Amino acid sequence: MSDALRGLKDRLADVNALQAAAALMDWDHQCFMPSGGTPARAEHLGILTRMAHEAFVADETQRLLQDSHGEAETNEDRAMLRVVQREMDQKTKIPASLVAEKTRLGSLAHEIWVKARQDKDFASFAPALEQMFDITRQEAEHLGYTDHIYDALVDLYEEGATHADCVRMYETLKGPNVELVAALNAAEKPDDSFLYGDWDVATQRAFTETLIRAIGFDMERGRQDTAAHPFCTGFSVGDIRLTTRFKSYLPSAIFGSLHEAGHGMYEQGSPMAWDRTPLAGGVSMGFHESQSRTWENLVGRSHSFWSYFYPKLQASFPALASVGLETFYKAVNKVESSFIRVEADEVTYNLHTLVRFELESAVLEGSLAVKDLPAAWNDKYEAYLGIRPTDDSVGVLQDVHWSAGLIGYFPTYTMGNLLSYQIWNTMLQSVPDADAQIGAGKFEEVHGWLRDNLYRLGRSVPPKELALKLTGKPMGAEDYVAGLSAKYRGVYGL
Amino acid sequence: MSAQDTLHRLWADHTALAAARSLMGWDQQVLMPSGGVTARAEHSTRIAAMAHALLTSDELARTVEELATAAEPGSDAEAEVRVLQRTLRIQNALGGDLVMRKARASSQAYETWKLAKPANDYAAMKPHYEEMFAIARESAARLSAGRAVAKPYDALIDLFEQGATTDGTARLFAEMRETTNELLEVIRNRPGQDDLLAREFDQTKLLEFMRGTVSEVGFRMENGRLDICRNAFCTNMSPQDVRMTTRPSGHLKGIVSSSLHEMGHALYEQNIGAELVGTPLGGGTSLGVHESQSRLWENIVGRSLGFWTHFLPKLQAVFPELIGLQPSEMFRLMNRVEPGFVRVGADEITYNAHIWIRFELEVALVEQTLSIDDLPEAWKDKMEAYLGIRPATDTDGVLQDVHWARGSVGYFPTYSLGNLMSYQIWEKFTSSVPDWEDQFATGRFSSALEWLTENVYRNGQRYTPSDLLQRVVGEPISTQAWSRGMRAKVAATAP
Repeated sequence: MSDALRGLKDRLADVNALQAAAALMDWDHQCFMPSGGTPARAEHLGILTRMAHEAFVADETQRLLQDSHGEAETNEDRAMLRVVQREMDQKTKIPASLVAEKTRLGSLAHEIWVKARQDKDFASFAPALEQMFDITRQEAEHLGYTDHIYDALVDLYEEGATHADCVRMYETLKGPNVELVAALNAAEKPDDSFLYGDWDVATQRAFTETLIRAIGFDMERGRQDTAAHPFCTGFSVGDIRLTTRFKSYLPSAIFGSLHEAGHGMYEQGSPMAWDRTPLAGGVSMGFHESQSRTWENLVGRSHSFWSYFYPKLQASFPALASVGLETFYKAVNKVESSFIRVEADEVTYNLHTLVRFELESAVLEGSLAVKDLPAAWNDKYEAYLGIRPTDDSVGVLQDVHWSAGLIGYFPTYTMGNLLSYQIWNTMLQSVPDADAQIGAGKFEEVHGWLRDNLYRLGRSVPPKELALKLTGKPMGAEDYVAGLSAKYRGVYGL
Repeated sequence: MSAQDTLHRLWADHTALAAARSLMGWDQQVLMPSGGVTARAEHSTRIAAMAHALLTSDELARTVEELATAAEPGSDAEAEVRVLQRTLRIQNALGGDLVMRKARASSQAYETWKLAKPANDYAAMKPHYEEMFAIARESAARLSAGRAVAKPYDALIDLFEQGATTDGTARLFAEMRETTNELLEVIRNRPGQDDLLAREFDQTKLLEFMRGTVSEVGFRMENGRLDICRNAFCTNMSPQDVRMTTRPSGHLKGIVSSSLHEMGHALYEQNIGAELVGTPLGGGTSLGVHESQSRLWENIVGRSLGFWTHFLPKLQAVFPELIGLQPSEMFRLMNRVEPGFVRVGADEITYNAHIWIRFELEVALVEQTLSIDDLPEAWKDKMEAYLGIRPATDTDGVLQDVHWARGSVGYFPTYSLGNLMSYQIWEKFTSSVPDWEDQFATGRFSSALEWLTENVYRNGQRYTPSDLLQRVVGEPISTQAWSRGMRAKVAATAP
């Protein structure tokens, strides 16, 4: 190995150590830290984040990276250099002054947003949001793009994705999805009132642990704890942490755990040899979300899954003894138009992101003014979901993303949905009896296929190339539209 | 930018790195899954190396030099310079290679120890002890280079108790041994007593009882935690986040004393003066003084009649099987003297014998008059010589403590030095608050906590350990107060 490459890897290992420390501090803050620790933790976390950034963009790191190109002898090293170069470009193309400006505005806008949402008062948030769109536009100009300003932004979260890709994806999806939602909204709603109750927390914790262990989350190399919001983080390939939360709606913990375990299994599947290097982890937001959705929805909301686990759930929660499997299955697959994205079911979910994609594109293009967002938002909800938000707190003010400058992010959720079905269908060609296996509580083969064909690739293959390599075609909405329609028309007997 | 500003910036960075390492250590011991070991060792080692690089940087050295010329005598600025100069000297002497070697080795040794201790597998730990003591010898050599040091161990004990020496410590221990033997003789002739506490108590209830107890005494739960871990320790990420652990055990006396011990450390850290937090003075002044506080709360407070007059009814509410027990009986049970194999939770009289054994063994290992091969037997021999009992296993012998696996060589004596200082400090406290025991009996611990905060805790590292002791009690460390305290206690617990 050349000196430059060795030197680069050493510096990246330092960056990785600082990032792992910061991730641990953040996880601990959300899971275990006593409340009084907040101010010092915020300061320490800020310093470590700054140190990681400085170590990464340091002249010396840039020089070593430069000198390493052409010296890589293995495919792994070449892939690593590609990943690092992309990140270096992203972090160095935007002037430090703009980054600082965005950080400053971000914390300010967040506070204003929290208050505006409380007060249901979009007008008080509009000036800050307008500035955030301005800064984001400048960011995009620095990052560069060929066709559409949105390209530069969505690429930050989903490498290689473009505005045109998003348009195409939603075009295929929109018609059938709006139609399906309308049909399901019109059908008789399954009763799910029995899912609400005073469920014992320790029993919920034990049951969710049983589930995530069963599907293949390795508890020797990870843990599950309780936090206000479910999330997945990791400090190394051998140490992936999930959180869940326990509510009066029983499925909340169950599907939260399965969702995060999907993220976690993807992370645990990177080769140990890549631990602490830029090649470990998930390749993009879309692919990451595809795996959380796979385990939450394709596996976790399937009939076969519950034909195996429902008796165990009933044993854990005797209140369900009188509720039959079919009733339970229908209840956890209930579809209903609602205002809030994070509470949406998998059928209506994409229409929520579609609204956001269309609106943020329009604002960036200049065809929609920030002040007109609330009305445009409500119109689109009415058109796509058949409901009109009663106020902005359940409308345009519901998400934290825009206040943080996360513009170009929302479509990656839907990409995850599409990819999950597309990858699942490919897997079925190799594991045709996957459904029967799941019904018998066996997940090794399904997990093994995903691990061997996707997880173990880490970040080594860029997402677009990976979709092609893995499924034989680019990411598309076809598998998803067909799969969703088949499943839910079945559930609802349409 | 002024030198003070530069120091502030550099020290903030150092504090963040130190906090990260503390949290990594806490997480590894309390929660981390086994799969995280390798990466955690690497991460922690790299963070340690970064902290070391910062402490040995030219920028910090220049800054300290500049501050030294400007510091007013007797000011906090002067104390900062003193602490920084010592820290920089130690870090520069040790060198980055040794700091990283120790960080990496201790992380691996700890993981092996976790399994080796319950499995009674000394062979598994042997290579780790070899490495840890090789590192200790190398550290001693580097720290002693160009300095007048009588014995190589002097440089190691000085890391934990500034100014302490091998010979000086041995002399104090010899004095303690006389008192100890005299009192053990008295106790040996006393009739036996049924030990009502020698049974298994529910671990969860014990933990909850201790959480309630420490917060009632004065530990601020919003600024800390008490968790279960295989080894009891106290660490902190900031004075607002001080974490203690106690062991997974149903042994009431063990859990009570270990929790109160860690609480003593924690109270010190939680009550450092606000003006010192985030500065080089924002910590306990030495391990010895720290142990004086852990031992003070564990033994002098936690085994007092006043303490149990207040807490026994609460304990009985949790464990109804203890109803009927009187505070005076509880006081005697808590102070029951009985040679045992395990240091943690040992009674006050035999406790120090555990320390002498470790002290003598580690001095011999550093001086290479004892080999790691012969360590387990040497341990058992000394146990027999001092306490008349011989452990059957290494689990109850040389493997029982985490310290050597952590590379903490020179640490053990601070427990006994802490015992001595605790009684010196306590005598001073009781002369200003003579009715302390009545206060404890009615659940009032604030006068003790406030007095200790005022005289010790709030000062952080403003004074060296010997200066602090001189200021608080007006004399250097000695065995007199401790001997008086031990004799009084033996008399008070007579049947």
